[in-house]
Amino acid sequence: MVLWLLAMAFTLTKGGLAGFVGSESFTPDILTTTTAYICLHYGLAGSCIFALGQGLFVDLLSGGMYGIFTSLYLSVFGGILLCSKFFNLHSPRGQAAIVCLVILIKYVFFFLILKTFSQCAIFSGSFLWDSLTIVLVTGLTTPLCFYLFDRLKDIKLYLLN
Amino acid sequence: MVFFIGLIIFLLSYGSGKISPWGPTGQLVIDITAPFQNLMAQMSGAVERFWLNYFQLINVREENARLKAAVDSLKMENSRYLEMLSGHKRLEELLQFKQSINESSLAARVIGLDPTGWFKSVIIDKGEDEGVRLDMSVVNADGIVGRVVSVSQNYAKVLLIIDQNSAVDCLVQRSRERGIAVGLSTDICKLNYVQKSGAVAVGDIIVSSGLADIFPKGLPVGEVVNVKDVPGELFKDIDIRPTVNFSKLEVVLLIMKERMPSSEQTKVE
Repeated sequence: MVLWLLAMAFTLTKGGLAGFVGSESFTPDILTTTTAYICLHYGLAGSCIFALGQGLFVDLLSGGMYGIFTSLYLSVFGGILLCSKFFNLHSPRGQAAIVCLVILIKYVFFFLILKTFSQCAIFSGSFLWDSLTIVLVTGLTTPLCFYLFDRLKDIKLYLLN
Repeated sequence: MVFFIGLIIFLLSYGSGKISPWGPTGQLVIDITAPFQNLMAQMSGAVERFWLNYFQLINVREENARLKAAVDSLKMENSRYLEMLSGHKRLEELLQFKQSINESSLAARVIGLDPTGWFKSVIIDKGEDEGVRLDMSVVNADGIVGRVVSVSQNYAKVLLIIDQNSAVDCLVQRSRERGIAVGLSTDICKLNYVQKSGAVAVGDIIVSSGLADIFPKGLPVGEVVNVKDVPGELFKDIDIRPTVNFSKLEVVLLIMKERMPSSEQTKVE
C-alpha cells in the first residue's frame, strides 16, 4: 500500500519535478523500479496489478492516447519476467541490469505503438539520447531504491509491532 | 602557639602607631616574590580575559544565530512579497486580457503537469461543477494555451497546443494566409498547409482563425521563427514559436463558450 501511494505521489509530482530539474532525462523511472521490487518481494500477481493500476493512473493524467501507458507498464511487467530469467533480481547488479533492459524494452514498445497507431507521432533527434539517459539514470539508482524500499518495509514492520 | 606569636607581633606593630617601611630583608623578599606575583597577576588576568571573552563569544554566537534567523525570516518575507507582487502582476494581465475578450471566462490554476514528458498536457483546478466542458478553449494573457480534453467534477485536463496531437486553425496576422499550427511536443510548432505563394516572413504573428468553433478569432498563437521553401513540396515549411511560455504556466483562463455538437451546428446552418 505504501509503495502504491509513493508511486502515485511520484506520478503526480513528476511533471513538476522534471520542470524543476530542467530535463525529463534526469528523472528516474521510479515506477519501473517499484514494479521490479514488488515482483521480487510480493510476487507476480501483485506486480502485475501494480503495473496495471499505475499505468491506468498515468493514462488518466497524461495527454496521450488512453491505454498507451497501461500497455507500456504491462510490457514492463512482462519485461521483468523475461529478464529475471537471465539476471538475478536479488543482486544489486542484476536489479540494475534488469531495470535497464526493461526500460529499453518499454521505449522500443512505446516507439512501435506510436508509430503504428498515431499518424502524427514525431520523434525528435533527442528522443534516443533522452531515452538512453533515463535508462542509465534509472539503472544506477535501482539498487539504492531497492535498499530504501527495504528500509521502508523495516520501518513499517517496526511500527506495526 | 603560632596564633599567639602572630597576635603579639600585630599588637607590637599596632602599638607603634605608624606603618614601618620595608627593611632590607623585607625588600629582598619582595624583590624575589614580586616577579612571581606579577606573573600570577598576568596569568589570572589572561584567564579572566579568556573567560570573559569566552562568555562574550557565546553571546556573539547567540546574537549571530538570532540575527541570521532574523535575516532568514526577512528573506522569506521578502520572497513572499515578491511572489505576491508577481502573482498580482499576472492576475492584472489576465484581468486586462479577460476584459479585452468578449466571451465570459473563468480563471483556473494549473495544478499538475503531464507526468510522462512525451505528451504536453496540464491539469487545472476547475471542473464540471464550475461549468467547464469538453473542448473549451484555454488561454492566458500571452495567447492560446490549449483546449479541455477531459473533465471531472472539480478538475480538467488541458491539451496544450505544443502537444503533437494538437492542431489549431490559424491566420498570419499581416497577410491573412491560412495554415494549421501543429505541436511537436517541443518549444517549436509547425505551421502547415501554407501555400508556397503565401506571404509569410520571419517575425510574423500567427493568430487563431476562429474556425472549428473552439478558439476565439484573433488570439495570438505564435511568432514565425523560420520559413523555408523546400523544393518538391506543395507547402512552405514554417516554424513558429508559441507566444505562451508553457514552462511558466500558472494561471489560465477558460473561455466559457460551449462548442455546439456537430449535429446541432448542421441544423443551424
